[in-house]
Amino acid sequence: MRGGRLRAALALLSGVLASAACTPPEPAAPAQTRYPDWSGQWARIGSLNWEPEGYDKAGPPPLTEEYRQRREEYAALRAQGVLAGDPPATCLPPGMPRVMTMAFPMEIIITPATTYVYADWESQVRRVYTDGRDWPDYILPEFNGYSIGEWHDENGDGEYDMLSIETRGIKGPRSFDSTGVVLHDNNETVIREEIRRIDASTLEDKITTIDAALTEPWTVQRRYRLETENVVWVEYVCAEGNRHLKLGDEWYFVNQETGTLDPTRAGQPRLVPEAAPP
Amino acid sequence: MSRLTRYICLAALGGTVVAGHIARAHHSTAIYDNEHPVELAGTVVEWQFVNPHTFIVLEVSNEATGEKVVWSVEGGNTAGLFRRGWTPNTLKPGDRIIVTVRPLRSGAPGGNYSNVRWSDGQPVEPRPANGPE
Repeated sequence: MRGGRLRAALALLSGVLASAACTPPEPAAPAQTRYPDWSGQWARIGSLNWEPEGYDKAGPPPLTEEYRQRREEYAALRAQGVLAGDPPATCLPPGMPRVMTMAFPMEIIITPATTYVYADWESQVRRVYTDGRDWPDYILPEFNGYSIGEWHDENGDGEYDMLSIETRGIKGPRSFDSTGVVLHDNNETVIREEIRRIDASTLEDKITTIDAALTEPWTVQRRYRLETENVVWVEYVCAEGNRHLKLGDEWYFVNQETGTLDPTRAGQPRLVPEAAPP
Repeated sequence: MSRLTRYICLAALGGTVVAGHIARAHHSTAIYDNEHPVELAGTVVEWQFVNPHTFIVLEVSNEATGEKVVWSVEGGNTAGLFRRGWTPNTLKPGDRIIVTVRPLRSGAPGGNYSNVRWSDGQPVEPRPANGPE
């Protein structure tokens, strides 16, 4: 019996050794850089002006003379009651870069191939490709553009801590904010961003906009606060109840109660639908 | 303003600081006369808890003439209000309220509301957000 057990054990051992010798070794798993945890609800810090401190403090935007004059014209029209130079008033999405003012909170969902920036404002999603792709031959313009990102481990601790993004192919019309600072009609804007978590409760996006309406690249640093209390997500469907209508160059206030288009500026006629023929 | 003042039940605020939220999110408030807010007291016809802005449809009576005018006044967005406890049930048809309104520059009976109070002057302070009441 003893000799039989020994032979069996030797046979088992030789089998194991043979198996180990004939099976190619598993390659050692490369050290995997970890993705950061940027989950949660991030709320805007600072002004809805593109300059987070507001233009009174930060100074005027670096507009070319043509676009500076256009901004003044829009200001004169707004003083009369016309929502000029502010495309989202008709429910158009803010687009890039204005969406990053985050009039409403955002959520960031990170996957290896794509990082999604979800903005409650118009329920817009920015899709940032981080799969190493190159720019496509043709980009179909979209309000948020086409974004390619790259993760960086700036402090070398084995965890990504900065996402750089370049965005092209952005559709218009767009404005930086509601003060009549609009982007160039050619829609050839290029936007570069660097997003970092600068402390436990603060995310920062350094945003540089290159656009023909500007005399130089315009860099702002927008920050977002991690909400920890009363965190609720509320859908935002602008078409549900928007009362602001643009017909040609005229703006109207849609009066659902009377079925009329009411004027927004003095001297503008009220539009009353003709009665249906009998 | 002359047409507006016919419907104003309470005195215009003049330079008084107005407490309360001014709706400003997805667009400018340029169509409203922010420099000349008025106080409107009336009866809620409809409370529209919708985006991009909530609306109060408010019937306002001119006490002198008896003439009734329906105002459509725009306020904050649903997300901001819901976080402060407002819901589609916060106001109901027939509620008597007072609001501060920045009127349309055109003189049409529309505007931008804030500082919603019950008719006795007490502020409308909904419960914390926890679904419909």
